[in-house]
Amino acid sequence: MPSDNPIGEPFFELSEVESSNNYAMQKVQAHLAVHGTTWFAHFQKAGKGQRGKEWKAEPSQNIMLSCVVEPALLSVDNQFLLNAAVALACHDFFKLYAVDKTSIKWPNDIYWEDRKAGGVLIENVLSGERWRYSIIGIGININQTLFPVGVRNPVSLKQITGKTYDIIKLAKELCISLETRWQQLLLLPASHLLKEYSVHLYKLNQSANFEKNGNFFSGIIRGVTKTGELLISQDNHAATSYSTVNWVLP
Amino acid sequence: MDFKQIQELIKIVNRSTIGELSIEEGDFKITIKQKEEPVPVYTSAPTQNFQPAPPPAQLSAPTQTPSSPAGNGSTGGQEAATKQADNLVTIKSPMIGTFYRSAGPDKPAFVNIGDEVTVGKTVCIIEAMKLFNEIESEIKGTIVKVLVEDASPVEYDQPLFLVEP
Repeated sequence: MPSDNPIGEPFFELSEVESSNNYAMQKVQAHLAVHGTTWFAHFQKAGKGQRGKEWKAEPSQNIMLSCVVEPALLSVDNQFLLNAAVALACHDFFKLYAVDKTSIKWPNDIYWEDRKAGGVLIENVLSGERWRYSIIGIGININQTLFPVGVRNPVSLKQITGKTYDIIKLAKELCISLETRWQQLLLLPASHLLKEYSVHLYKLNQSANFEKNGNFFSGIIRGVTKTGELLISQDNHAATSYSTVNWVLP
Repeated sequence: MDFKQIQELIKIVNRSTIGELSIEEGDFKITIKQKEEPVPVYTSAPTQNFQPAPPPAQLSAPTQTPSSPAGNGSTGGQEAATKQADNLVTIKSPMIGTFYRSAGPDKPAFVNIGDEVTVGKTVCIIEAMKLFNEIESEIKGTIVKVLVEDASPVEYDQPLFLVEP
C-alpha cells in the first residue's frame, strides 16, 4: 500500500454508497488502494458517524469523503496526533470560506459559532501494536440549507456566506489542506500540531458543561494533553485531564 | 534417601522460610532451593507469554537420582489448568481505551466463542478519544474465551481473548 501520493490522489467519485468509510476499508483490505486514495461520496445510504450514529446528508450537497493513509513510522501512542492533524486541516479549509468563528470541538467536530459544520471519523487498523493504516472519514456541510428535525444545531457554509459552491472543487481543496497537515505530522515535532490544535478549540478558556458517568459539572477548557485528553479546570484548581467526557450543550 | 523422603523434605522446605537446604549422605548429595519470588497465582486470564511456574522448590543435581522426577507438591487439578493454559494464546489490547465486540450497538459481534479466527481477522474495536481502532488477530485459531465485557475500559496489554491455535 505505500505510495508517494499526496492525500487526494487518486480521487474517485461515488454516486451512491452505503458508507464511504466502509467502502474505503473494503478496498484497502482487498489491496486495491494505496496511501492517499480518496473516495468522494455524492450520497451515502448509511453514512457513519461516531459509533452507530448516522451521518445524514442530502445528495450532492456536501463534502463526504474517505481517505486512506498509512501512518508508517507513527506509533500507536501518537494516534491523537493524526486526529489533531485532520481536525486542523478541516478547520483550515472551513475557515478559508467562513472567515472567522470556526473552531474544533474536542475531539474532532468542526464548529462555526455554536453550530456543527462537520465531523471526522477516523478508523485505524492495528495488527498487534503495528498501526497498519487509517481510514479518515470527513463530512462537512456545504450547500445544504434544510436539515432533518433532530439534527442538533447544524450549519452549512451556504448558510454562513449565502453562496453555493462546487463541492468537488472544495473537496479537492480539503485534500490539499489534509496533505499540508499530514506533512507537518510527519516532519514537525508533536508539540507544534498539539499547540495549534489547542489554540483552535471550541470554548477554549471558557466555561462549558460536561457529563461523565452521570455526573454533571462545569469547567474551563484549558487545552489537551499530548495524548489528546481534554484539560478542564474547575473552581480555579489545576486542570484535570479527561479521556472520556460528554459535552452538555445548550 | 528414597523418593518419599525427598518429597517430605521438599514439603518441609516449602512450608518453611529456609532459602536453601543441602544434605550429604556418603556419595549422595541433595540441595533444595526455595524460589525467591512468590509463586505466581494462576488466574483465568493467562498472558501470551504464559509459562508454567517453576516448582516452588527445585531439586539440584542429586547424584543418585530417583527414577522419576520429584513432584512439586502441586495438585493434579493445577497441573491440568497449566497444561490447558499452556496451549492457549492471548490477544491483548495494544492501547488504553474502550473495548467493543461489534462495529455498532445493533451489529453482530466480530467473534464469538468457538469461532475460527485467521491472521488479519478483526476481533474487536478499541475506542480512545473518538478514534476507532479495529484490532486484527495476529494468529490463527479458535476463540475459547472472551475476557472482557463489551463496552468496558481496557488497559494497555490487557488480555482480551484466549485463542487455541
